[in-house]
Amino acid sequence: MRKIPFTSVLDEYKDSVFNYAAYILRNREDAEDVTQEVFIRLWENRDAVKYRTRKAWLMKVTHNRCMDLLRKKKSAASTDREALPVIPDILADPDPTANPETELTHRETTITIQKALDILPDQTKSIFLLHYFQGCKYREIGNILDLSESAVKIAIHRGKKLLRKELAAELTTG
Amino acid sequence: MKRSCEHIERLLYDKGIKGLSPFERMRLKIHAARCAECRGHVVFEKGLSELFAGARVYDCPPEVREFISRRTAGERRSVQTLGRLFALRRYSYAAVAAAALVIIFLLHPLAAVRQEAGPEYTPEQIARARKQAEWSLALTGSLLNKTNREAVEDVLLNKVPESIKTSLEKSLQLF
Repeated sequence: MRKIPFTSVLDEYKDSVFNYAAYILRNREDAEDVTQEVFIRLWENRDAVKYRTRKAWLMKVTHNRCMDLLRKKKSAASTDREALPVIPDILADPDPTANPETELTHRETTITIQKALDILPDQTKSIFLLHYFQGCKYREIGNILDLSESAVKIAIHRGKKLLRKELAAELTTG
Repeated sequence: MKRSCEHIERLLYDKGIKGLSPFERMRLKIHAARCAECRGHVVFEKGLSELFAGARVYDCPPEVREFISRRTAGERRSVQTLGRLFALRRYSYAAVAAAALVIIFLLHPLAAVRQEAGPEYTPEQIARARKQAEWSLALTGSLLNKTNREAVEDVLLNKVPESIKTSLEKSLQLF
């Protein structure tokens, strides 16, 4: 059995987990909490998680934890808008490595994507994030979200149709 | 809709633009150059990929990594220590086996018999026995017409009468 140091796994996947949680939750503190919980759970289940499936396991646990938090937030908030800010608070911290122009472009693009993702159903949003941000294949997404490969394809197809209307102006001018 | 358009749509549906092989990409490019509708699909697909690629990627804050590392560090150390101990198990098994053998050897009833001292004799008894042995050997030698040494060998090879053999065996123990 292949043994990999826990810190190597942490360094390899911490950004993926944090990024996914940040885009779903749009809140830095929540994303940090989810990242910590996910990796501590990985540590606790290190013997059960196989080497080949650890990325899918991490993303699945991250997704489930994010959905739990979202459900709690939505039930506590009176509107969806209150639960999820359009502009994520995480964007308040500028990237110290980027120049101001790049930072501005990133900020605009991120807001455009967040707005576009808002029109998608929750599951389709997760599928898009996993496919375009995490580079997951359709089959991997199916494993993470407990869906068949064809269900993922259908969701992406429908999502694209919705996004095409929403992003028409952005994509033709850009 | 043309048949080739259906095929292109199917390809994009099944694989997305990133999942196409070089041959499929070439086919898509050629078709899109002639078909405005499919060109629209391709432009949208590329735009979508570029849009997501241009979004900011959030890095996990170092304090989060530090926290996770700290939370698991204590356990990791103990696991490593256990691991080191288990790595030595081969040697420990060998040491335990050797110790067990020594203990069995020492505690075995035969070992006790081996360690027991033989019967103690007084110097007079030893002198008498020596004389008796010499007489016995001389008698055996004369009976067999052999030297004392040859007589001893014959005794050991059971070539002498039982009475002489018993007498000799008792005497030889004293030497």
